[in-house]
Amino acid sequence: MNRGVVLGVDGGGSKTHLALASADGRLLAFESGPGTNLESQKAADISATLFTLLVNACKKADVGLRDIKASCFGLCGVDIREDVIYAKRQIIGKLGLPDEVKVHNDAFIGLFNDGFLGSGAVVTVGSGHKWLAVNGKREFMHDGLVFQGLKDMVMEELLKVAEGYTKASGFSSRMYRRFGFRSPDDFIRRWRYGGSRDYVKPIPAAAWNRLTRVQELLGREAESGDSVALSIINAYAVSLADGTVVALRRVKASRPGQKVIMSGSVLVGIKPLRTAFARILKGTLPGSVVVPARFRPIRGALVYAGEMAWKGLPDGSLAENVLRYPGV
Amino acid sequence: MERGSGAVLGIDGGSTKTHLALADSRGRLLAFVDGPSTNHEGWGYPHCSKVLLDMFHRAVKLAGIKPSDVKASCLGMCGGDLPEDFVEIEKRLARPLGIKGPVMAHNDAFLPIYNDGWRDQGVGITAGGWHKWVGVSGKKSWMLEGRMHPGIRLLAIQEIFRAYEGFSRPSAFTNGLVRFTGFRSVEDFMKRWHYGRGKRPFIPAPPPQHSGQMLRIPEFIGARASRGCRIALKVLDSYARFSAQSVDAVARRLGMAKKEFDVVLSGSINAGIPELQRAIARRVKQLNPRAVVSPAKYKPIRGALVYAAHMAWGGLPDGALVESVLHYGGPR
Repeated sequence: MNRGVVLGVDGGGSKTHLALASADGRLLAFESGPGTNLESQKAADISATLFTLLVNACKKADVGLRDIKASCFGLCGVDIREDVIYAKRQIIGKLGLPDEVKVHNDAFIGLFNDGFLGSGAVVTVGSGHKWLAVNGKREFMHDGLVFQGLKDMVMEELLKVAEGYTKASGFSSRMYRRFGFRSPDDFIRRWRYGGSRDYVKPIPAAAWNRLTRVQELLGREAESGDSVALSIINAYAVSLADGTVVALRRVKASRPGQKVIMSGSVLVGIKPLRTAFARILKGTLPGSVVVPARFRPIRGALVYAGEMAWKGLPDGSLAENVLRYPGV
Repeated sequence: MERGSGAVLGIDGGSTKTHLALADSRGRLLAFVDGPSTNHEGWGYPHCSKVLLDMFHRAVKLAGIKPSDVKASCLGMCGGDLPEDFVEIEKRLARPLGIKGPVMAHNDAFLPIYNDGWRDQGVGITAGGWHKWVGVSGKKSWMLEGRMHPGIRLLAIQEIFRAYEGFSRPSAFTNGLVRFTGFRSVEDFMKRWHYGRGKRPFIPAPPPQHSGQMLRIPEFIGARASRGCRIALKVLDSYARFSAQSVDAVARRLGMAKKEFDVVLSGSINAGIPELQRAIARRVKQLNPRAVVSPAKYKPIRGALVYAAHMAWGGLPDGALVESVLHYGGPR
C-alpha cells in the first residue's frame, strides 16, 4: 500500500533545506538552496525557490505532489500569527500541496531534531538566537531581544579595547590580527569610518568574510582556555539560560526533568558554550535535561510531518548522514 | 598680535543646524548666524563649504569686518572624528573662508568643554540625538563614541521588549511609553515597530507621530523619573553608569583620572533631565572622586569663541560673551 511521503522544509536566512521521507523512515530526497527569509525576501521569490527545490526533490524521490501526506515548514521570519497566515496564503499555497501543512518559525523544527517532543524547549543559536517552548498545546517563542548576540559581544569587547574602556588582551590582539587589522586603532578607523571618507580605506572583503566567522574564532579561543573568551561565553550562556527559563515558565513547563534541546550551528558547534549553558541552566532549573541536537532541524521538520501523517516514524528512521550535525 | 585687534570666529557645525559667530577681543559678540547642517559625512565637503561661506559672508557683513580680520578660528564639526578629518576640515572648510591665524578643528562635542570659560583639562559629555565623550588635557585630546552602548532610547525600549517577551510584567512605565510613542499597546508597538517598518507588507506603517515621539523618549523618561518611577530611574542610572565609565576611560587615556577635572554635561538629554545629571554626578564620583560635574550654561558656539579667543589673545576679559543668544534657553 502506498502510504505516501512527508515533506520537511528548513528555511533559514542563508540557506534552505527541503527533504522528503517515506512512512518507513527513509530519506527519499534532500535538496539544498538559497535562503528563504520572510522578512527580507519577497513572497514570490521564496515561493519560486521552494518550488524549484520541491520539483527536484519529487523527481529524485519519484513521487508526485499528491503523494505528500503532510508538510512541515520551519521558515525564518515567521514570528507572529499573521506571518503564518501570510506564508500559507502567499508562499505555500502557491506550491499546490495537500492541506495538511504546519508552518512555523525555523526554531520550531529544532524541537523535533532528534524525535517528537510533547514538552520541552529548544534554544537555537546560529546567526541569531531564538527560544521556543512547548507543553502540549501551549507554545511560546521569543527572540531574546534584550540579549546581545554572541557576535555582538565579541565586537563589544573589541570596541571597548579600541575606545579605551578596557585594556588590550591576548584575546583582543589575536582577534584584531585574525580579522586583518594592524591594531585596535586600525580596526575602529576602518570599521567605523572606512568608506565614509575618501581618505580612509574601507575594510577589504576578505576581512568582512572573516568578521562573519567571529563565533567560530571565539569558540576556538574558549577551547584553548582563553579567559576573555570564556568570560564572553559564560555571559552569553547566562542569557541563554535566562531565556530558556522564561520560555518554559510561559508554557508552565518549568518542572524538573524538562528536556532542553540545543540547536543551531553556533550552539552545537561551540563545546564550551554548550557546557556552560547546561551547567548554568541546571543551576536554575535543577533536573533539566540539556542535550545538543544530533540532527539538523530539517530532520525535525520531517519528524513533525511524520507525526502529522502517521502518528510518528519507526525507531531508527532518518539516520542518514546528511541529516546529522557534523562532528556531533 | 596686539590685544584689541581683529576678531575671532567660532563655528558649531551640527547634524541638524550650524551656528557661526564672531567676537572681538573685548568679549563682544559681533555676529551670530545660523544655518543648516554641515556634517561632511552626510553632505560632503563641497556642500558644507558652500553653506559655511554663505554664513560667514553674512556674519562679516553684520560685524562690519573683513574675512582677513579674523585672527583665530575654532570649528567644532559634526563628523570631525579622526585626525585626518581635522586636517581636511581646516583645508576644505576653514581656509576657503579667507581667514588668517591659527585654526582649531575638532568635533562639535569638543566645544562644550569651553562653554563657560577656558579649561586646561576637562571632559565634555554630549547626549542628544547621539552621544560622545571628549576629554582634553593640555594639548592632548581623546574622544569616545561609546559605540557598544545602545543609547538611552533603546534602554527604555528594551523595557517594552522585556514585557513582551515575558522577562517582566507590563508596567506603568512600559504602558506609558507605548502610548507616548503613539501605539495602542505593547503588542501593537511590537507588531508595528519591531516586526513592521517595511519588514512585512501586511503590517501598516507606524503612526505618523511615531518618529518624532521616538526621538522624545528621553523627555518621557525624565518626566517619569521626576515622579519617582522606579523603572525610569533604573534606565537613567544604567545610562549614567555607562556615561561615568566613558568619562573614566577618557580620563585614564589622558592620564588625569586621579586629578581634579571638570565634567561638562551638554546636549538636550543631559540638559533636560535633572535626575540624569544627579545620577551622572554620583556615578562619576565613584570612579573619579576629584571630578566636578556641572551642566553647560552656554551653547557650544560660545565654547568655540572662547577657544579661538584663547588662541588669538590668550583669553577674553571677565564678563565677556554674555549675550542671551549664547545662553541655553536664549533665542536660537
